[in-house]
Amino acid sequence: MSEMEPDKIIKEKKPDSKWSDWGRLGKWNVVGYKIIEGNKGPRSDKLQRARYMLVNRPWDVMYEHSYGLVSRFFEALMEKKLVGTKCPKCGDVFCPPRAHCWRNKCKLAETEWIEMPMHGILHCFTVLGFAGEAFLSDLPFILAYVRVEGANTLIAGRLVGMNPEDVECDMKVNIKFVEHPSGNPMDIYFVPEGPPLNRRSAEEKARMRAQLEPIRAWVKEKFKK
Amino acid sequence: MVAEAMKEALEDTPNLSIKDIDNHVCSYFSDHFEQQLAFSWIPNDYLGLAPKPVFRVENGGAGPGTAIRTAWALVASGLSDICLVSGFEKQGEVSSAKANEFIALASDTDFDFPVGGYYTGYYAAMEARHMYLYGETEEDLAMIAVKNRNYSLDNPYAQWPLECGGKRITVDDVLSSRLIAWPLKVLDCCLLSEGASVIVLASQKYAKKITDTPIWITGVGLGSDMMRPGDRPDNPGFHGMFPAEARTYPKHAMKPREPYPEMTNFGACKVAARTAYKMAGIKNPLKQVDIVEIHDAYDSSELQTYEDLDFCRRGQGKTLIREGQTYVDGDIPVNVSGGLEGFGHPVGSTAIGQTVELFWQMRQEIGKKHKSDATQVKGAEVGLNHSHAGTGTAISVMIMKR
Repeated sequence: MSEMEPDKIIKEKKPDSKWSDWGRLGKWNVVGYKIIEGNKGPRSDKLQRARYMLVNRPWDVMYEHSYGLVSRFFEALMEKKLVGTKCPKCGDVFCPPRAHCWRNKCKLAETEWIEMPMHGILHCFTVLGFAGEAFLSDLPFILAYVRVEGANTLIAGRLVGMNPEDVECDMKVNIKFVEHPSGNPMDIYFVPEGPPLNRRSAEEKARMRAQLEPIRAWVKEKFKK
Repeated sequence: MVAEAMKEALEDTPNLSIKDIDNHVCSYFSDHFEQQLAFSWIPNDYLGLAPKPVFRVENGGAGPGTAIRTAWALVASGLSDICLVSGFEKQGEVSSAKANEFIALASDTDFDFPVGGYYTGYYAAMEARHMYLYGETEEDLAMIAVKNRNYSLDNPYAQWPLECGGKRITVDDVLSSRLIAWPLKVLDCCLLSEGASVIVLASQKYAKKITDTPIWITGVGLGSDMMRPGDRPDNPGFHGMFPAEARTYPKHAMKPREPYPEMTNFGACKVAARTAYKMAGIKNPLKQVDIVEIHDAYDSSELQTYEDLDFCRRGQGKTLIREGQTYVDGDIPVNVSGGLEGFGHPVGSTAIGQTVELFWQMRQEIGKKHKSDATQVKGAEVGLNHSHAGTGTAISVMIMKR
């Protein structure tokens, strides 16, 4: 048995130095407080008043996360290639990839890497008017699950180049790369392959447009976009 | 919070003493909200339970339902005579956007979360496809939100009455509320909550010593599905299991390899329900179940869950709400406590709190516990509790009987 070799760095992009203080800055200190009079008790019709102290504690972490056995998918993104995996036993194709087959009878067979076509079918979608903190400034955007042609799994991503009210399930899309990929699923995005299918009524479209107006205004105000 | 719930349980049950509890199963969802690992140890020692065995059961949003099932197994196996199940959550220490981000960490953080995904988005995409297949409208969903939120106005343990100032809402209020993820608006979604609840499970012998009116657990089931909803449409795991549901796939849509549950329904729920029904001897839930508490994290998921609990055929969830069958005076009242939209969703506590509501319902105590008996289901004998995680990734179903 050979001795275990240490990890060898093949390629590296170090995080910008602005991130180096990330862990230290949010160090769980009390940086602010409030003393309030609030409510106490389980029933809203029998509440009592009580005094509480609230403290502000920042806390954050820089992770070094391994993509493990599907690392190749993310490395390929940086080369502007979309890849998936294929089970050598049953032929199922995974994009997002799985390193081992999901079928019981394949007994966790190791899959093989294949290149995927840059088009597929939009299975379902939503138009986001709210999001996690990190994505608020992108609102509103279209989140879609797409079956890349030939794949047995669906990949999530953003759809651009179409008004939200024209997006429909089962429409054809093409897959594009951002200019500067970084090894993130956001490196790819979807665009419609053809004109709108127009199965939605004019009334439904108008309603969707009206729902989005206040979101656009909110983002503009909050992020001065 | 847990102590307040326990105190009320003790007041309501004079023959119950903390010293007789021999095991404690605790449920809370997130280590991030409270920044406290192994948090189950705190309520355990605070209630005076140490040195009794305690452990946490964590299964996403289905944690509380899974905790009850685990406690049931402890009692049924003879490892415990009297077992406490507690649950709690505090989601108010961070902003709503950060809270949604924390919850989204239960989804796939390599592929689904980094593109801006989070739960309302995932559920909205699933509902968009369900609508595309089966044709329910935003109004149908809104009717469920109105039902649950307005029922909560009579429930003093509920959160929504405090937020809305006790005012009833209408379908138009829901439709005109802020878009969160089309087709879901803010009033289609559950609340971010702080809360706690407890229940006590006892063996047949001990239950009768504690109370003259116990409620019996007659069936439990738990199922799972792929973590990423995008892995479901072709997942071989469900192959051939539910042929009737697979057959309802409409012709106008592109049919995936496994038409059920794909991204429109919750197969984990179907598995859990069929298991629990079989154990409890239930053949027709619509007729044999009298009252139901569903995990309505979204009104859309309540509608989808009607189908997965076999209250109706796949695609007929809309008919159930349009005909009013899930109202308090309908065939199968659902979420008359207010559900997650009205009562609240302190995740680790949710299904335990809903079980408490079912317990009061089946003992005909709603008039005593709520502001009136307006939401009391008269003569309710059989109850169903449903606890749901992820995008339907883990789901439990429990049948209770008077």
